[in-house]
Amino acid sequence: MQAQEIVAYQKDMEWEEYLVPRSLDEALEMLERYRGAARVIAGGTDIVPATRKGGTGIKALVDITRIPGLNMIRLDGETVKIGSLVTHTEVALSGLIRKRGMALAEGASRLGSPQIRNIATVAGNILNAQPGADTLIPLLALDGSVTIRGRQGERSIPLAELFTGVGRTTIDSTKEIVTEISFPGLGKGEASAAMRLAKRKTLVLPILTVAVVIGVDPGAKTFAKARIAVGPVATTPFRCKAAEEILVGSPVGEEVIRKAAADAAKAANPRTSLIRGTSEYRKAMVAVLVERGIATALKRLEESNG
Amino acid sequence: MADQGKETARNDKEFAVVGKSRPRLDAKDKVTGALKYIADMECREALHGKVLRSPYPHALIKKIDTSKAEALPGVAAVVTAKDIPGRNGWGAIIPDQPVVCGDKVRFVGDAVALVAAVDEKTAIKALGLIKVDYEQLPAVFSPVDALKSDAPRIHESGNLITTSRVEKGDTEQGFRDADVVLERTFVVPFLEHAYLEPDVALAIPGSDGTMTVMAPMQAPFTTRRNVAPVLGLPINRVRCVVTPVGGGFGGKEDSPIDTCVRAAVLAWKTGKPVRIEYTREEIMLSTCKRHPMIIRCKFGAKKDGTFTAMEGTIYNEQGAYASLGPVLPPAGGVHAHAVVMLAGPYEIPNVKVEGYLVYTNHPYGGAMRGFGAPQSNFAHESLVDELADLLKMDPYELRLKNAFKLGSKTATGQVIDQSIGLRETIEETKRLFDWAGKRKPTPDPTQAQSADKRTGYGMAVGWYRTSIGASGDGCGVNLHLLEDGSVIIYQGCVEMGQGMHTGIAQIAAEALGTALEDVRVLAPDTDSAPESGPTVGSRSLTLMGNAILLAVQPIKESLMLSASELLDTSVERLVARERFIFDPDNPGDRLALKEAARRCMVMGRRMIGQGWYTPPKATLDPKTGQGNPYFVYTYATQMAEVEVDMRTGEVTMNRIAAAFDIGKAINPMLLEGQIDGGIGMGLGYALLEKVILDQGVIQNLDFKDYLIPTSMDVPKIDAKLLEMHNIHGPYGAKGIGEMPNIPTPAAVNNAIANAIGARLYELPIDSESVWRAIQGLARK
Amino acid sequence: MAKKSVTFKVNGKEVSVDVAPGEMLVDVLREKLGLTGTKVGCREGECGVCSIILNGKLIASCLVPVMKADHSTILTIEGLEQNGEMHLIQKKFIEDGAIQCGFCTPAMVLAGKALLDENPHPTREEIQLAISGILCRCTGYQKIIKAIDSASQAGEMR
Repeated sequence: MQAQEIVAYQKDMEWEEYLVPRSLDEALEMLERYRGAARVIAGGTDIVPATRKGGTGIKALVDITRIPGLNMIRLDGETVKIGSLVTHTEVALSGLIRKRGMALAEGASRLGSPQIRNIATVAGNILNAQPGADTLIPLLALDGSVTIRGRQGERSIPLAELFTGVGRTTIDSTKEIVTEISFPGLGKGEASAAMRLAKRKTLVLPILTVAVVIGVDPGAKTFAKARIAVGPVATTPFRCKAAEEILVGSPVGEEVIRKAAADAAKAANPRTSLIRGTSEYRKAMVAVLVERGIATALKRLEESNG
Repeated sequence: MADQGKETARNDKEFAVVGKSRPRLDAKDKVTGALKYIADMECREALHGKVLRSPYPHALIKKIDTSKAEALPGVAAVVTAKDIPGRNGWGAIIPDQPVVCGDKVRFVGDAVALVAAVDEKTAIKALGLIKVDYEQLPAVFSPVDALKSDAPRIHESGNLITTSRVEKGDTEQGFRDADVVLERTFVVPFLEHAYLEPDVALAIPGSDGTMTVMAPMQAPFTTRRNVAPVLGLPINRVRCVVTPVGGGFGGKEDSPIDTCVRAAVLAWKTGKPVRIEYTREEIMLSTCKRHPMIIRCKFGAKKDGTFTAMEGTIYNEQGAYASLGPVLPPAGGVHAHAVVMLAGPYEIPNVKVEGYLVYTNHPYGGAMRGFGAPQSNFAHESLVDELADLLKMDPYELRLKNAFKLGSKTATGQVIDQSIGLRETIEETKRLFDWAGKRKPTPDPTQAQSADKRTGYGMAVGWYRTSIGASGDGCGVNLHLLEDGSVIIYQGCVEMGQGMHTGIAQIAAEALGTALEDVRVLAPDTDSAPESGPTVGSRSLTLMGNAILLAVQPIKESLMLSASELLDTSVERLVARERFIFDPDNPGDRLALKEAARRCMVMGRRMIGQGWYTPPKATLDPKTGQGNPYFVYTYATQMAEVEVDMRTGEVTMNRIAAAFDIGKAINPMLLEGQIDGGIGMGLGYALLEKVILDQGVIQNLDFKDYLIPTSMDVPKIDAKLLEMHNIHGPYGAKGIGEMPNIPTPAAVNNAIANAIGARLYELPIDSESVWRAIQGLARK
Repeated sequence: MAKKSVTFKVNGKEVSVDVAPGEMLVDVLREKLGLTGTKVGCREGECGVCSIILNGKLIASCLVPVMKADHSTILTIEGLEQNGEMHLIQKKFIEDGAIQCGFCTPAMVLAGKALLDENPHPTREEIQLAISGILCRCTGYQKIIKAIDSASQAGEMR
């Protein structure tokens, strides 16, 4: 129980080994050697506090930060590719990401504090799989995917299929390593925005994160594309598919945006939390943030066209 | 105080050191990282101490089996209630908190056993090997419930600790005379001090049967008089050494008693030094907090705004142990203070306030910056503001109409006969803020809702005492002038960031005629510092400053006599200033002060002085609450500009303007620091902070979920200092430490009301509560 | 548990220490290297008083396993004074009254340095952001912001 747990928090962590592989293959081999008792560490900002609280059973850390080739941000055709060692600060400042996936840059810029953003990786944020995570929600709206390397080889999983519960993904972190995150870069007629509601201005987990990606048919002035991701309103990050469908094909206008936002709120199911607020408030805020997210994305589109 | 009276009458320009914004004396040590706080001090032979804590809010201890823990290699001692050598109880006012609980536990986190081991890992393992059989008891979590006749009894003495009253005139008649009467109930939560430096204590047993405890503490003498009886020692065999304090805010008046008595018992048992270090979570779990209160407040006023009557009822939740809540006669303790403060700094002929201090099975309330005043102020300043709306009066005008002036009588019948600048702070803040130019009338709520964002302007006034209002409020100092002109001050008040050591050094330097750099203020060591009282209640600069002025007198006499001999000039003609002694009519012929000091030494003249200062006697009738509880007050006005996001309820602070009557600014720059930080803390109380409890269990035990303001949460602050000379203060000064964080929550609350056209009655004001108020929805 | 040797450059000097894999950088700096200017406040990366500059970036040292810092360059508060002369930022902290209890001061100074090294003329908002990961309970941040601003106005950064 709580009072007994907290007096057991120790200064030193329980790791027996700290391994620094020089290649992905070496890293995978190290993971296999420990048969489930080893974990990858990149930035460490999630794994360290978790270990301090005890009971993780992690015997060894495999530090992948010295493996070359994992810290690039680049454009491959029309796909934006982000290495798994790229930090939140790097994503927030990346000209490429700000141009082709602004919502992600915004989300990354709001996580934690400057110190945490400087060292925490976006890949780590995804693997931590919190339903309202700051980079996860934009990446979901951006149709992002992760590339994973295991002993059997590489595979790619869309974020939409990745999450199975709070803190849980389909990736086996004791056997597989994320190498890359990618998403189709937004193009002409497309824009994105990320919104955040939190109890104070920084260094705080959000009450609600929303990311919106829209595409507008320039001629007909109708929504050609809509993605709305919100969290934490469920055990996994949530796409408001019904709300998206309301938008697609409809002419751009306040009324339809309000309708979509209201529908997103209806579909969302946040519970009442003593820390984050009542279910009633959080649902109402889904509508507000979705509405504002869409409005912001439209404004960006206007500005880039105008 | 003859010397002091003469000094304070002088024009500011004539002071060499006092009134100057000199950098603090410990600045370089702190900014280079050279200063060692206790966690930075090495003690290789120290054992690690740990505390086993109760997981239940209320339970009997049926059995404790420590045998396995004692048998663990590396464990030096396991202590349970039977092992306490002296009194198994400690507390700043009533020693009702066990060092380790024997028969029952009273809150989640209550101490059940202590362990000392060779290292942290072993100590933690030992804790896990101690088996405790608990029998859970029904628990009570609110003061209202705890007062019911069938409520579980937390202490043998019953759940009601004390009832305090202030009663004057006839409130029933007063309300009949009123044209408008308004009554509201306000709710404020537990708050955490959140000082950045965690609590650590090191206890070192002496070979001569003495015990030394070292810790960052605000009240070394209080700690000493608790450690001694716990060990069964006379007080003179316990030594408390104050290590540099990384923030206190009242919390370190109580928490070091906790860590020190426990470390001391382990050190006594093992015969070795023992260090206890609390994790942040442990601090939040178990150390004292700001008292939560439920305050019913009622004001009556005539059409023109004149207050006719005021009533209040305070349910003050003490939590599991008494700490600084109970009355320390006549007017000390959080409870008495909250009751006295509730009427506000207003002339009200008819007053009736009743307050109940009640135990619950929650963590306990102690001293936290303002000591009951923040809670009371939130209530009366929010209510008075709403009353202004009802009267259709500008809130500024309503405050000004009723605010104290010279000759006013307080709710306790005290006549404000000096050092009163409240009205001046109201007018000055109005100017600084451009209240008349900026503030629009409060809109109709439906009208307000049509906007996406709205700006609001609000104000609050406040008053706060200097010192504690207890009979025993003395402050002692020993001051030595050395033969080279340098000065040592042996004193017991604590530097915790407020700049107090620098301030008193300035006072000493001014009074003696030396330079600030020549004065060395020693951190408190009870083996060499005279009783000075605790560093609380905004008392230290004022009381210690006065004690220093007393101590300086005989030394000054020696100095001037020696100087007069060397300068061949009569004593009456000489002044001492900035290391020189001279006749102002003949300044060229001056003597270095150190020469006069050397002559004193040679001539065997007295170069040591002692000062014992006690403020004017505090009086407060326990039945009627009438008397003069505190000898002087500091006054303040704050005005806040907020922006409310009407759709999410988020509040952004745009600006705060404030004015403070502080008597005399000994060091304006350090004073501003107190204002900035206090307002920052007030913003936390207003918008962010709450210890969230569920069935007695704290839900937000760390900085991740207990949110204090960051640099992004604070606005620009414009503050003005006003000096309404305090005849009982050194150079006219009075206290500042707590005043700034007191009016802020109400000022912010009132600004929000001005923006949204709806009122809030509970802290913290988070975005959801603003949203609910805007929507007209009931509270969750 | 076998001890490993880590080597890093701390305040300009190359240092090697034997450490266990479970030791955290903040504790090794403080206890093995005696650099106690870096403080511990929460051990969760939520308060920032453990902040140091690692490979040119401001990070929370309580979250860094010491072995992660192998072959890194580290600057702690002790490394700012050069030949007995304080850094300009330190001088401004003193002059502008930006220090109270001092516990957050080393981290705040380093945050100021990290900012001004990259952005010599920041706006007030940029300063607020740069120190936004360090909690201060004493100053309300006002004079800390002022001091960093004073330092940026005063000129040449080292």
